[in-house]
Amino acid sequence: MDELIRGLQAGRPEAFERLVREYGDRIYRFVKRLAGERPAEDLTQEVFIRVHRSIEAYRPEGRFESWLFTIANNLCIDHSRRRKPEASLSDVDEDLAPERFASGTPEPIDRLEEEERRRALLKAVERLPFDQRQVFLLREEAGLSFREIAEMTGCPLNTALGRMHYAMEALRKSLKAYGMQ
Amino acid sequence: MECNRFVEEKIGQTESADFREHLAGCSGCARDVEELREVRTLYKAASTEKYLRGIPRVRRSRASWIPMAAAAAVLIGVFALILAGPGTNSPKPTETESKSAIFVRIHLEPWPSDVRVTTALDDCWQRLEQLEKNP
Repeated sequence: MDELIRGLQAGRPEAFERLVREYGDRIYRFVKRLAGERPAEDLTQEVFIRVHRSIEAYRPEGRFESWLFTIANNLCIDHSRRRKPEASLSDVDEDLAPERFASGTPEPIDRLEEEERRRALLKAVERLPFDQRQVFLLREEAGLSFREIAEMTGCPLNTALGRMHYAMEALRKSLKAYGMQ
Repeated sequence: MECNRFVEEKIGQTESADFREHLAGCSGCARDVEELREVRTLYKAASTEKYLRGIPRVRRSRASWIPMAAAAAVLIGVFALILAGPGTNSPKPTETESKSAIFVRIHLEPWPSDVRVTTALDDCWQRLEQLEKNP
């Protein structure tokens, strides 16, 4: 990680390529679920451009991921303030295009059921209130600790935990209809 | 509620011995943990979209001012040379020189530093007219 950061700060193209290769998918998914499908690719690009512009000022006081996803989170918030939320259901369906997903080889019936459950979960995530969705994604997609999430979102630790609690409750309820015990 | 928060905080961290001990004695937390794991596992399986656009083209911002500054310096230098002219020891035009050559020499003659460019050009035109009237 230190090598990546030093490479970025030195302006080495291969370091920038590595950054996009390692974090592109995660940033894209985070942005897509927080800000919507339509602006997701543009916002993801913007995240990397912002990183490029501000990496010289980066000081490794916290984890790099926390700094990186703070940029993504702020861009999503700015975008949400500028525009109303998009209709998410069609976006989820559109985004289930096969080329977007990693390949797997489950049996056809199992695969249909699994896809049904995945689709239901992604829809449920997109239906979460913004604050809950933000905490859920920062935890599950960005992999941040609750302390990092609380610091980033400017709320007490208990508030971050509470939002995660309600998010998980909502997701669990949404999956009950799909056979989850 | 307190128990759930305990679960969610702990499940995000390395599962410690005291956490496992708590789970053994708390069926509610044990069930919550199982469901949370199922949600998390399913989400990981569902959230696999790829970023397809690729690497954005960017330039080093800190170096971008250098060529611009160099170009500006060259332009300023050329402009200053034109304003300053070749100096006082430039040869005077001879009678055999054409009017166009005289015109160029007039433009390159030195002007006082406080003379504005427009004033200097007006002066050139006046002097050219005089030369045409009295070659």
